Amino acid sequence: MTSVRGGNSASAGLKGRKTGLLPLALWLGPILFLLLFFFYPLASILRVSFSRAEGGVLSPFIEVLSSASHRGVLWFTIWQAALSTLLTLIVGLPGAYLLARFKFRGRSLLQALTGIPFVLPTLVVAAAFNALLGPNGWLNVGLMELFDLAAPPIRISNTLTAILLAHIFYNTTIVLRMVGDFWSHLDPRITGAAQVLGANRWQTLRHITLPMLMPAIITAALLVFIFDFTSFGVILVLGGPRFATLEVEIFYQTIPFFNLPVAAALSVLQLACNLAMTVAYTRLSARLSRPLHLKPRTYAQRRLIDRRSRLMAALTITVLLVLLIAPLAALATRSFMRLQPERGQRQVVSQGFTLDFYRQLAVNPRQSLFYVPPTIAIGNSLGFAAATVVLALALGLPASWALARDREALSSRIFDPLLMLPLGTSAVTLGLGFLVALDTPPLDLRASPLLIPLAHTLVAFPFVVRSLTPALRSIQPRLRHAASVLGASPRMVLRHIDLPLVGRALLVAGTFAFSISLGEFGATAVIYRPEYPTVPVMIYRFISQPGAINYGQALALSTILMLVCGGGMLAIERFRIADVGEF
Amino acid sequence: MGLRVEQVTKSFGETLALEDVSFEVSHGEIVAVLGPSGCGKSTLLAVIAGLEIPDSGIVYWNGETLQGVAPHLRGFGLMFQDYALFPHMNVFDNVAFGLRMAKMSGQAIKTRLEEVLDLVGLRGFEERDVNTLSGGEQQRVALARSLAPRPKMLMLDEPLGSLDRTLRERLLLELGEILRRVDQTAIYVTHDQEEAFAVADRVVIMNEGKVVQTGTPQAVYAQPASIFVARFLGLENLLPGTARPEGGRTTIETDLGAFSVSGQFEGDVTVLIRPNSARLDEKGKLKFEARLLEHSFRGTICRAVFEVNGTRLTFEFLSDVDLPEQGHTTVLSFDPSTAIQVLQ
Repeated sequence: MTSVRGGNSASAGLKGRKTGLLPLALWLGPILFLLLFFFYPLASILRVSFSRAEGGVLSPFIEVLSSASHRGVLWFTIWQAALSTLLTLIVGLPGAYLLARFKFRGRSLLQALTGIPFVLPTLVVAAAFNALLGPNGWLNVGLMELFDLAAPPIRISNTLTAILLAHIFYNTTIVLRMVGDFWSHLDPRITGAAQVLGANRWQTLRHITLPMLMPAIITAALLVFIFDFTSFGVILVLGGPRFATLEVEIFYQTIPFFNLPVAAALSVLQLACNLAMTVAYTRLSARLSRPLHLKPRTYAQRRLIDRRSRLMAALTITVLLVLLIAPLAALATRSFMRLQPERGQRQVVSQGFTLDFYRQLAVNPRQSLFYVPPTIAIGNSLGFAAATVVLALALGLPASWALARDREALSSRIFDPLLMLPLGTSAVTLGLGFLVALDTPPLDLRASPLLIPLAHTLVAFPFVVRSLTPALRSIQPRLRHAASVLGASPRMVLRHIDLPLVGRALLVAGTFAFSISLGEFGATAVIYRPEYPTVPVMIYRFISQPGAINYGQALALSTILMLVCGGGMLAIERFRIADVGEF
Repeated sequence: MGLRVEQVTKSFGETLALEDVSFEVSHGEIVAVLGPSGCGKSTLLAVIAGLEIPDSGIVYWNGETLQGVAPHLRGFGLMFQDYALFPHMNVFDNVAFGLRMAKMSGQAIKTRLEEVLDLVGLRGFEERDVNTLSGGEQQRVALARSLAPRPKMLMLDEPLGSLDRTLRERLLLELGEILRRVDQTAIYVTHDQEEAFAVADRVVIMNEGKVVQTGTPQAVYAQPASIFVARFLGLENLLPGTARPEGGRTTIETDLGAFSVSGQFEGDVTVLIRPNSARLDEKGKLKFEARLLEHSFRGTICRAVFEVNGTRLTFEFLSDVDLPEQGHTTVLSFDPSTAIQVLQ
């Protein structure tokens, strides 16, 4: 009996396209979720917005496109994202090479440390750069003290440089992870073959390594680009009023101006750009991806023996540490330091170590009824993040599985780009959509504690799918066939073959979901209820209020968030190394 | 002249992959490196190609050291086990890669490609995606790719390892023929003695990172230098014995009885009885009563396992020989001077 069943499922696996029903069943959950919590709210807010426009649906578009300042915003959004992506690749690729191909002491620590920036909320990143390079940051305060200057010598606040630095800081990990991971599993004999055939290092890199890495580089670059394209917190805090991406402009149009028709038109514009990028990306990656013979990582790694590779390693590690760790160190230390007088206390400048910023976190200064101490906000954020992980994995796994089974199936070709859409949709718009659409029973979720995890799941979903699908796809069909011939039912194949092999990818995807939820600010800023604030909401509140105490509290809260995110990341990194095997 | 490997040692952490390995390959010669898997054969090729740096020892080409010469400047070819074809290139681009690296002109590349694709029988495959080729076709592409730049020496790492038996036998003959037709100096690494014997002028047998014997296939098969080599070549009739020199000869006591052999030996030895040396009559100098345990038909020969004085011995005969029925006894004889070799 068992063998008969095994035989059947083996042949079913070979002719996957003919089984029909399974892919549809897999798609059911994710699609229902997207319909209810993405398309429906989006459609609602767009309808409401455009219905307010005097002069028809097209008039806001005409207003946006005929306005030089809005065109400027669009142009700035595109080129700053392209420039940031390019710089991120330049910084990230040598690091990816180092982590992929070499064994050295401190390798896993370096990998874990460089992973921390990515899981940090944009507001924390902005605060960290502020603490290092801002007018009250370490560098300026130090230089002023040293040379007895009256004004800060480094004026990086509200410049493009600050934005680019923060984007590189933020996204280098994506390149390190995605490209490095792929690179570490490439068969080194293929480059060996090229060398023996007369290619020098440079030619091998150009003709063999780079083309083979292309799918990974393009995937990573696309993610980085989309991140930079929809950048919100970094621009808001570091760019100042002079710079606005589409997302920031949507926020300004929505919250202070309440110009919903223009906000909606900008959202549609952003969505269209994103759809174009996503479609281009899915086409490109399908054409580029090759069945590569992935090898276990240890097989491909060597030690740093010759002088050239040691020099390269030292240089790369220095750049990564300075760029990625210095702002974090600045943030942490700055949160314990009082460097400037409190307002109205110009005479009493007590500089030095202080725990005041942390003590203030649990204090309700104005005895306000609506004041929620930041310590409660931390609990809220963790709870929301946990719910997001569960939701995102539960929805992401079936979708990734369906994509991995057969990317050429009609359902995959339709749904694959759709899954990516939430990524490029204005989170602010989405938040508004939630408020407008989910207000009638049975879907009255405005007061539900689930509202925020649902929004976060939507934002995290594309990342979860993108990190799970390649891992699922890399499981060779013959492993599944071998299992089913040995009598494993499809469910047992999933449990004993697919899940253990995908365990690491699940961890990575879960980390993504967790950190995205902890740091999400755009949608949360719109839909959060005053009695359940999240940590980023609190940070923004503190940072947008004047005074050293507020600045200090923002830094203190950012430091706590950094420790929580970074600590989780390090723990997962350790767990990953200890327990989950490589391919 | 040609390749000279001198006292090469290479270790990976705790494991010693190569220990004091030395051998030579002359121009136009095909040398097979033969040994069980994990004996260091692939590492040896990587060292010669320059992909791995040895801990000590030197590789020379035409008397000049290759120490410090990068892999792409050595002018050797290396055909990898499971081929390492570039998955993002078609057949043409794979085979043309080495020529492009040598900055050959487009027309010259085309001409050379036609030549080598003809040589391996793959004309018309130029535009094919290498991922869609069968194992045998991939193997030919790999061979064409490594032959195209006319390497000074070609190294083949288990080139037939991942093919099925029929295909293997056919390609083996073809491969040998192709290599000889272009007078290619080559090192052929394999764990299969039949392959090595079929293709090589000389074999180098390795075990646990060391060279244990070198010589022509005939010489190695006729005079295995150690018990390991004998076992590895499939020679199973190995008996323990005690040797006692007597005049110019040696008498050896075994479970089969005592024989006298030429040469000087003393103490504990192992006696090898060649499988093709027995007769089913009384004409040999040594005669035994033997009981047939089992036999198997192998085409032109058959293989029979006998029990002689409590010892299992395997012999091969031409298939038309009259074997007794299974379990029955017969007379078996052989000449110690040709049938027996003493291993110390």
